[in-house]
Amino acid sequence: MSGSTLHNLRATVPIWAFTALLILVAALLSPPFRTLTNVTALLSLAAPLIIVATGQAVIILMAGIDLSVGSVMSLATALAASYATFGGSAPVNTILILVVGATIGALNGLGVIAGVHPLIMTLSTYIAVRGVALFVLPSPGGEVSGGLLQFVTLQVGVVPVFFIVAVAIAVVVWYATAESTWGRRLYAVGSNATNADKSGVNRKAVIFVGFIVSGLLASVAGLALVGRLYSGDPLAGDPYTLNSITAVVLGGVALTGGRGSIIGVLAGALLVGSIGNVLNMFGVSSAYQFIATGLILIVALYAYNVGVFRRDRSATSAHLNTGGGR
Amino acid sequence: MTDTPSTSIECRNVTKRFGNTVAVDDVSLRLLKGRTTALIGENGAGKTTLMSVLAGELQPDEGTVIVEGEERRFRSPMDARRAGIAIAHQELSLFPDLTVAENVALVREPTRGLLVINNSRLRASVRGTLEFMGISLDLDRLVGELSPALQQLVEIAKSLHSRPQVLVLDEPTSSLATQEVEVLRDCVRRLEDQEASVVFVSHRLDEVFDFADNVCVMRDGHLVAQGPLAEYTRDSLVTEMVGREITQVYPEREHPPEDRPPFLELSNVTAGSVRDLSLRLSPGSIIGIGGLEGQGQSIVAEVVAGIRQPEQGTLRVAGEEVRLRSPQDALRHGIAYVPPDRQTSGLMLPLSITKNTAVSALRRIHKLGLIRPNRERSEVSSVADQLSLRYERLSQEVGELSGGNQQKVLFGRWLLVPSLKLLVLNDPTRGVDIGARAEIYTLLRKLTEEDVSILLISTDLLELLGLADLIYVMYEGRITGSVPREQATEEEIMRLAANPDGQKS
Repeated sequence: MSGSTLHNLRATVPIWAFTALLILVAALLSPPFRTLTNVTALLSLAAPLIIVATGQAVIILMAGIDLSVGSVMSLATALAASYATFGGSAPVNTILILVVGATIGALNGLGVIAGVHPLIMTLSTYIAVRGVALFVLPSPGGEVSGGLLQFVTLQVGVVPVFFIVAVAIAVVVWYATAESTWGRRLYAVGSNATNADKSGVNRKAVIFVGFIVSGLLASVAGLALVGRLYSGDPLAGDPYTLNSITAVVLGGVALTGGRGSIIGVLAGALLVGSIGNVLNMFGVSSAYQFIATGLILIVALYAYNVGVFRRDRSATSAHLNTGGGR
Repeated sequence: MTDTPSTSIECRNVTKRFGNTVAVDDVSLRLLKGRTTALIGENGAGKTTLMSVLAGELQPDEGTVIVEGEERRFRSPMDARRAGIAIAHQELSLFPDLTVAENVALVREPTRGLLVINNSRLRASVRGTLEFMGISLDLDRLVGELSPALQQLVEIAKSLHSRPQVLVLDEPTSSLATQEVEVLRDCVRRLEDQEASVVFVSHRLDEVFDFADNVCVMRDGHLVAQGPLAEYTRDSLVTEMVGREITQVYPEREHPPEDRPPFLELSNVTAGSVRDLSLRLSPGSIIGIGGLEGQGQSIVAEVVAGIRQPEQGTLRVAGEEVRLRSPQDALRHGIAYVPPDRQTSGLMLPLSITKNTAVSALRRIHKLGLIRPNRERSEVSSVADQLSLRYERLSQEVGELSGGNQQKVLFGRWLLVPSLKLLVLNDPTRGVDIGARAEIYTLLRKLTEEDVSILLISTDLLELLGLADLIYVMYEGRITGSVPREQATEEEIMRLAANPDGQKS
């Protein structure tokens, strides 16, 4: 493993510790929390968020942002719930959904490469794609193909298969960002786009691929959402835009790009996904879950930026060691 | 080395413009295999722009680059890299969150399969490059944690890693200590032995004579001299660089500074890398702080300007102990700051000259919160006259002005503050052409005649020697000495700047 990968992994320890602590305390104190039914519910709740946050993390690592993911998820559920019109069979329908997601990502990428700010570019696609979703499926419902529904709701024991898929996606994408040449360039572009150019990085290609990954993962997250809804909903993906950003930031990825690890984002997504459930189990009104998430986000940001977890980057007085090769 | 070395790369009639400014004007330059060419000139002479054209980072408006006799068009730095040209930048092109090894090998990572980086081979290859340079570094340290000197060495290693045939070193020694400069010189010798061409961009003449065989001098975008270094002396090079006697650029003080209680006094200030620093500044005088880049000078400026609070020590303004908690706080005491990077931390480039200048005077030119446009315009245009600002309209965007005129706008902002007592300047003439510089210097001199004090931080020796009444020199956060104007020489300041007592901490 490379040096910066280890540095970035070390920085995810606090968020993992906090998430584990929260779940542990909840499991100890709340009998309903530790029931198997609740475990299943919790994991299937977390799956779509993990997937979409992984894509969002790719974009934020290169100092961008992708607001369109929520609409892409909605559109994915809408297309899945209209499979008779779109594809006819489960496999064709699924492939179509993935292609649509990747295409929207590619459009975002082209816009950003052309010089549109990512916030504006993806805000535009967020709005437009929401319109498309409402066009495909004007109201919640529809019929999902049997094959797809069966797959997205499959369980191994109490664990939903799509949760395993979600974790696998996060790990694979983490590895690609941390240890592949593409990932190294992604971090470079996020850290300093000008220097990346000077270093010979093909910035446009990196951005393009990044947005395709995000769009594609958003559509996969949409499929995971179908596993919870058992139908389509043209607005169901909406909250995921901001939730994915929350998970990424909680996971320790800097909004300014170039720093953080998707392993941390996995913890962030688990945390965001379980806060509501944990509070529910203690009979706390769901209104408080938003207040709690907001507070945790602020505290986490403080910790990352000024608090104890901050990586010290002040120049040290390390000295040159001359020797060898004369 | 052969007797008649052949040409490796050549610029022919290269011109590069930025807006109305011609940064490089019809320059032809030829580099020889196995030889080192020094490219010298003052800040803003066009050296870096010309080298950026060579390295494919900028496309020339006119002219061509010829590699091994073949005309080439570099569309990107990668194109130039493929043609065997690499550059170590003055403004380091490093990534603080990547390690030394990752930075050096960026874009040249060995892989297993198509995409997965082979970390052990990557480290081995970087180790090879560092060995060639004659240095050893911890490959797994994050570059952001390294000292400026080590970062500069990593930048050089990064450019060497592609084993270039043409290597451009743009001000490679600005943060290096003497010992490290020697290591670099040995490395350049080895490159010459391998028939590579090296361009050594610098304005330190001692090093130029030490490193190079040939010299090219640029002034105001033109190549004004070119030839074997043996044909030049230090003095003749200075004359070529400056194009006139230096004394003419720096206005003489008419009234010598009187001995008065200091306006500003720092006692035993510790902040960041700055340790136990004391200095005093009397009204109407110019105090210079010199030294290599990044020795803590900027921190001193920020402490005085209220941007940074000292961890220890005291600050006295007009005899009274104060705590400056913000730039606004400093301004209330009459202290204004001109930051080093005017484009990112000083000016608002998309806004007009008027808006950029009047921002410091909003309090005086408003009525019930609404800006009085006539008042604003008259104040700004009077300042523009004082500065001999060259512009088309006051509503023109500052981003369209040349570097020198941008800098004047930044100065003008503080001229609108009637209670101005101390102007803190951090590298005020970087990238400013000689004409605009002379005007800025005249203005500074005029300010001191009006009893305004100036704290001048500069890496430009000539500037310090020409303006400052007293020069403090910093090294690794400490003041290593102070030299009054009458006794100041380039040699003395360089001696204090680089490894003062011959010791390494």
